[in-house]
Amino acid sequence: MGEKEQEVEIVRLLKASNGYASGQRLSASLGVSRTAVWKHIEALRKMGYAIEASPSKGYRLLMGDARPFNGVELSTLLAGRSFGSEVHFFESVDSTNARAFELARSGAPEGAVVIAETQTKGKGRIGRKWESPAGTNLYISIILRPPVAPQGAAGLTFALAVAVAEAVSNRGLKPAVKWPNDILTGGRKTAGILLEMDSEPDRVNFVIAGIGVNLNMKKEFFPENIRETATSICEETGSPVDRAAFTADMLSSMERWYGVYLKEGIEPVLDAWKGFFRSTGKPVKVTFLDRVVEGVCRGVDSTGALLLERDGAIERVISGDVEAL
Amino acid sequence: MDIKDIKSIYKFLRETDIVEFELEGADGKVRIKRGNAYAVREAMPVEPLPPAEAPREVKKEDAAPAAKPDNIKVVTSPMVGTFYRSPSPEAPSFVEVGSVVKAAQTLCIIEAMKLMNEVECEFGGKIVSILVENGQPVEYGEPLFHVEVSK
Repeated sequence: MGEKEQEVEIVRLLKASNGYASGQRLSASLGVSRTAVWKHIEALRKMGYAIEASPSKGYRLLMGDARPFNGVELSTLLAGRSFGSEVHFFESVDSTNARAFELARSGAPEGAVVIAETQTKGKGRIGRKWESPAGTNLYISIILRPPVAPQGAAGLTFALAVAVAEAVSNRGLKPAVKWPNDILTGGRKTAGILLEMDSEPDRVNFVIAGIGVNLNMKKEFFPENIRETATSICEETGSPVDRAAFTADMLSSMERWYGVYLKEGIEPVLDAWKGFFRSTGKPVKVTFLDRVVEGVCRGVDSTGALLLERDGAIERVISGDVEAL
Repeated sequence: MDIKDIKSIYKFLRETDIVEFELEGADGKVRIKRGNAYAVREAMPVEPLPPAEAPREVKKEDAAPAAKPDNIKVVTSPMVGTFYRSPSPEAPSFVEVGSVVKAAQTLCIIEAMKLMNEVECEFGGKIVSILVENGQPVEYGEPLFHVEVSK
């Protein structure tokens, strides 16, 4: 058991004991000295755990409202899961996707996640920035190794969009998807998903799914250029979100929808996705790299491509920014 | 004959076992030869085409000039999507005609439904032509680059 695993285990034991756990018991369970246990307790306190120590009774974890958000807590919550089987937690990274890419290249398994308190170069689509301040939101990338050809991988976009929308719904909101995979609440962007794939011509090596969810960010902290178009779950519901619990909940939705996609294909995924899509029959504006067009959205086809009606003809859109008019 | 015809021939050939194909018409000649590797196919469709009919894809300055045909490999698109030559609109292109590339170097990005696929070169060499314009849609198996493989 490494140092970090020992800390995860101590937190697990403290939570399980429902009261005091003696230093002796902890040291016996972990197979380390009581001094080592004490050092771990100190480290855990620095991570934000309120741990009370009594010379006669041992250690007790005080579970207040504020559950800490760190690698130990996430590992404890995600123990035994496939999505979240490995948690790589960083206080600050350039981009969780970039870090996950490196990990995947060096052989990290499917389900390994990279989570950061803050990103210095959070990535959006085609070089855009994802606002990633510390202490408030969720920035996570997960490594997927779907046994599909690159040609069939785009359906993953919809499976993950459904999963994130579901996690947002679980907070009592009614999210909508903006084609293909942004999550909006009250018409404002709440979460974004960016998939990056590494493939051979005939098979996918891995896909990194990067997800940013605005959880507790207050309106006044959004940069001015997105203040009116973005929001957070806390802004919408009025109650702060337990970030670690949200992460665990979202990962379990993702694991489920990923399973549906691999077993049953894109059809049931798109059916669920359509339940969150509100633009069918409505006028939309589509921004491509080199042009902007307007038309009426006619839903999506069986691959998920957006159907745009313009001058009586239907155009299939496979990439572009789609906004309601 | 224009680039669309060549694309259709190419697609047709992909579904068959034909490894070599030649077609001569009034307006030019096309010869396609396929290797065994999946995305990297040896091809030499560069008998001059009527420039007026294929203004976009086959630019004169982009066409493989004196390179030995068996040195030229084609990098094709792994999926249907949009072709991007740079990671963002402001960033410089991954490669230009004449760029010397190493194996595993990124050549372009193909995007479909916000899934970004970085297409890498599988061998070292020199880019002799770029067959698609930035931001344009590409089909599965569509040729993107001609690369002169280093010896």
